Amino acid sequence: VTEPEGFREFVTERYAALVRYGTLLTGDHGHGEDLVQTALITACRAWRRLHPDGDPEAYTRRVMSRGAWRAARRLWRQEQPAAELPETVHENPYDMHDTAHLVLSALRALPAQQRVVLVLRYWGGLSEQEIADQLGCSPGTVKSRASRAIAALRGGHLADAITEETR
Amino acid sequence: VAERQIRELLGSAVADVTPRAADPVADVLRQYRRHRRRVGVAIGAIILLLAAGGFAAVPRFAGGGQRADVFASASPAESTVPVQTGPARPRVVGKEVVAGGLVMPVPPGWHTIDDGKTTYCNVPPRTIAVGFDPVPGGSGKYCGLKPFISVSGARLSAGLLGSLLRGANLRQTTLPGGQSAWMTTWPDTATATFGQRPYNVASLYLPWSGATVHVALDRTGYAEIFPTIRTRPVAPSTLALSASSAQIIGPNSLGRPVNSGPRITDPTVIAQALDRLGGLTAAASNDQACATLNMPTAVVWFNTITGPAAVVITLSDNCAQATSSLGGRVTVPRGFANELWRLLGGSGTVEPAK
Repeated sequence: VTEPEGFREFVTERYAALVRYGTLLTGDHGHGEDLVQTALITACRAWRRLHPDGDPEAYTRRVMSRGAWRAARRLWRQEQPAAELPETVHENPYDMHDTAHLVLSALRALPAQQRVVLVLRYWGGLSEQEIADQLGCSPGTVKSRASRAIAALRGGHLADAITEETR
Repeated sequence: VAERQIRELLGSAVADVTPRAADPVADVLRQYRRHRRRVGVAIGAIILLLAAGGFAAVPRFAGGGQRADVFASASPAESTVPVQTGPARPRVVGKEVVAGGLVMPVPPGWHTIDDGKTTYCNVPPRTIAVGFDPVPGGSGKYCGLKPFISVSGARLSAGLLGSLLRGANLRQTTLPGGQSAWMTTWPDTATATFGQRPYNVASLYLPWSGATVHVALDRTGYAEIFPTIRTRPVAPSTLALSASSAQIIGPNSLGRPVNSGPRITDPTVIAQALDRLGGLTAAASNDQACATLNMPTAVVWFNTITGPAAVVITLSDNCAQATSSLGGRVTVPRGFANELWRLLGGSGTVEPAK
């Protein structure tokens, strides 16, 4: 199998951004990067449709969000991934308090579908209808998942960071 | 809720996230080629079967990546099986759930479901979910805890390995039949999530079977059911290994692997570590496998081109053995773990003082 023309440039340029997106969708760096690579394999298979006239990044992100949405049926709730291996000797190595850790912990604590909707809505800036179209569900489902996700975040460690300014 | 605040929080969460893959293009293309080969082999096999008039053989093939021994062996306990290289495909065979080399008898009064759809809230008590994990979180947590088991296929991903270590109580044990299993329990999580004790919520990962077992059982059920899990033996071998980076995690005062050394990417150091581990030639037979749950444990987390791999080392005076997730189990000499610990940047020692 030869390397599709333009694929290397696309991956090289956008891989880091996709890993960040995957990290948010899964709440975990390792799972996120796995998700990116799986989506890129799908993109590679569809490359003739995506290059040079298509939008490979939008396609890859769509594959990722759908994959994360479907993962809700597979992941055992308690099997939440560790953010990182502990770097130092510590009785409770996960008791870290930086914002990034808190946010990723909060994302991991959300059910996967709520997490995906939250990321698409607030990180991706998509409307409820656009999210519903992308995930193949109803706008009502999107709305309820987003609402529960926000409520969960406000009820957790991020309560101080999220105020009720507007709806 | 302020959208801007949430967007900023999400942004800050991943601002420092950088890819771990050194050459993602090569990684993706390698996986793509492997996927194409698998599809090609599967299509070729189907064509051959059909061409041979072997329609009767199709159900046997329908297991996809499942090994033929799952179907074929009349005396499975006596035959060895190869190490599963990907996730197993669990299935019910007679009154047993089989996943790779894992065999779990369906306990009396229990039943199985394999529809892949039933939610945790709708799962009746005393159910084994075969091939999927009904999620007991989210809205499911309000359904309460109930006697429940799931058996599903799994490969060792960074998420799974991190999850096992996150419990800060990863333990290695040896199941009947000789296969190693890595187990973590979540008593605190169960309490926090369900507010109920004395349930045990435990996850058991069998690296050579590509299978995970999750259980939520009370003490009686745990004592009755857990010992019935058995495995089909894998032929003894030395450690199968490869790596592009490595990190060793030593035991804390309770013997649980939580004390992490630095992440090593120096190819020379990694080559030395692999050389040392590969130089262990005393392959342990299934009868010699001795790890039990109460032994102090160290873990070496390797990153390979196909994902993470782990070597779990039991550090007991009575049982010093190293097991690779990629296959192989060997006896390690006294002092070896300390040497490996220091080679990979740890300070002090990890082996219990004699």
